[in-house]
Amino acid sequence: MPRVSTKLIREAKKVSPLLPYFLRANASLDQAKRELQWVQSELPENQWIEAAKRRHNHEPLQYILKSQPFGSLDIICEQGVLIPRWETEEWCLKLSSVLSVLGMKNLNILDSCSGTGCIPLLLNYELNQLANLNSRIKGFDLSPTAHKLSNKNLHSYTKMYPSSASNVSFAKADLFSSSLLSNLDVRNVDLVTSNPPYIPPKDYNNSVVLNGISRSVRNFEPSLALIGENEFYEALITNLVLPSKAKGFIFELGYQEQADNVHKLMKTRNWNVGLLKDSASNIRCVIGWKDDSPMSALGQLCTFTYE
Amino acid sequence: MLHPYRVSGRFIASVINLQSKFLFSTSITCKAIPKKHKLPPRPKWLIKEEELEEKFIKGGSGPGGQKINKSNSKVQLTHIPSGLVVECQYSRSQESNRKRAREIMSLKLDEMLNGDKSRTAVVNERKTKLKQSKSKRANRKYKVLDEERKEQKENENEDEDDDELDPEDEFELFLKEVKKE
Repeated sequence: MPRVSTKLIREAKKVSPLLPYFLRANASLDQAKRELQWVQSELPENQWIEAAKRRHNHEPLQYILKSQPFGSLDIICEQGVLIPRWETEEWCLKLSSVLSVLGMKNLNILDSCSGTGCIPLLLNYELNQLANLNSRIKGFDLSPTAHKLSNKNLHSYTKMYPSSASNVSFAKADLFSSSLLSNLDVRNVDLVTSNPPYIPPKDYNNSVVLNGISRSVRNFEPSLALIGENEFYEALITNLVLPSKAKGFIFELGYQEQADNVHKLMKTRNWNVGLLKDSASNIRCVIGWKDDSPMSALGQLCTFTYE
Repeated sequence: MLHPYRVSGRFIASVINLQSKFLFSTSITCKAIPKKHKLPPRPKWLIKEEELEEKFIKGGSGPGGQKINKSNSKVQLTHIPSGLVVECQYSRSQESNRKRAREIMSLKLDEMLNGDKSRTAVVNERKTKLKQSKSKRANRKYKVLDEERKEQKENENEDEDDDELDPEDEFELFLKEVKKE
């Protein structure tokens, strides 16, 4: 983390006395100005100073403003639950556009490690509110804080779109429990989605330059939602995808090895596996589907398919 | 019913006043300020999705995903036939940035196609004219005030002249009075 130059601080002071506080967490003056503007437009004036001091301490802006736009929705964010990322938003929108173009009705979708509940809520908005596909979407998470927050988000969704809100629900469950499906009380599942923790412990303590994570993530976001390697993908497949007889899955990830591992597990079971890159051309999702099932449409999303 | 002209003398006076102002106006060009509700509409029809190339720029290359929590989302639009490029990142929400970028793009295309008659040109014209008329009115007001102040000052000076007596004159007057006695 480079030191902020006094010249930059002086320049910032000319614009606003609050602006220098935003310099440490931002690379440029312009970005700092934009953040200050968002703080000033979204918070009452008596909270500006406190917000500036918290940002100076590298606290994520989303926790300070208590929200993050996600597609057309505004997701409530609170400390203890991972902030929704733009990469997740991107693949969620791609997935829902494929499903709604094909008009796939009455799907059962299960989302693991749902956190704020952003994936189920956005899918529900796109599939049920906009495209009227009548899918049933269930999300679950191990953390009680996350479960509480996802219900809070569902509540605010219900206020905005009451007609489609009954298609979503959230539960508290452990992905690693062998009786997961009976705990969740779901029978048929068509599609499994998830954004599980995928940062290996060795990268968790590194800085961004060394392929690690940013200080603001390490200091303020829950490690429970961040640290994981292959075990989550293995559990997703053995506890969820295979016993629920799902026909397709899409999991977010960060490393090629994680995708290769998923492919290794699925190729013996005659599944097709592909990869999706995000618009920053980083590897972002592993996608699987069964031949001759409606979920083979997921192949359209892939930028690369395993032979 | 009485005719309004007969009812209020003030009304007639104001009409005459207006006329006289109009007759003796010194300004040569007398263009009206464009009305706010009669501005050209936002040229949304100029945007055709098939002519646009959209890019979402997320600030450089890096690990991304769970490793970083960016709050900005920049949208870059390119209009392929004309080569115009527009960027927008005023909001945290990508959706509103996309909408805003399209608005800006449509205004730019309008400017390119219609020149002086485009929405932005008319809006700017309105702005400058409003400013001019405002400063004109202010100048007029302060001119009158200044004149009034000047007059007041002159009057005061005259009054002072009347009141003040030379000490020598006063002495002579005093002497005269003493002599009479």
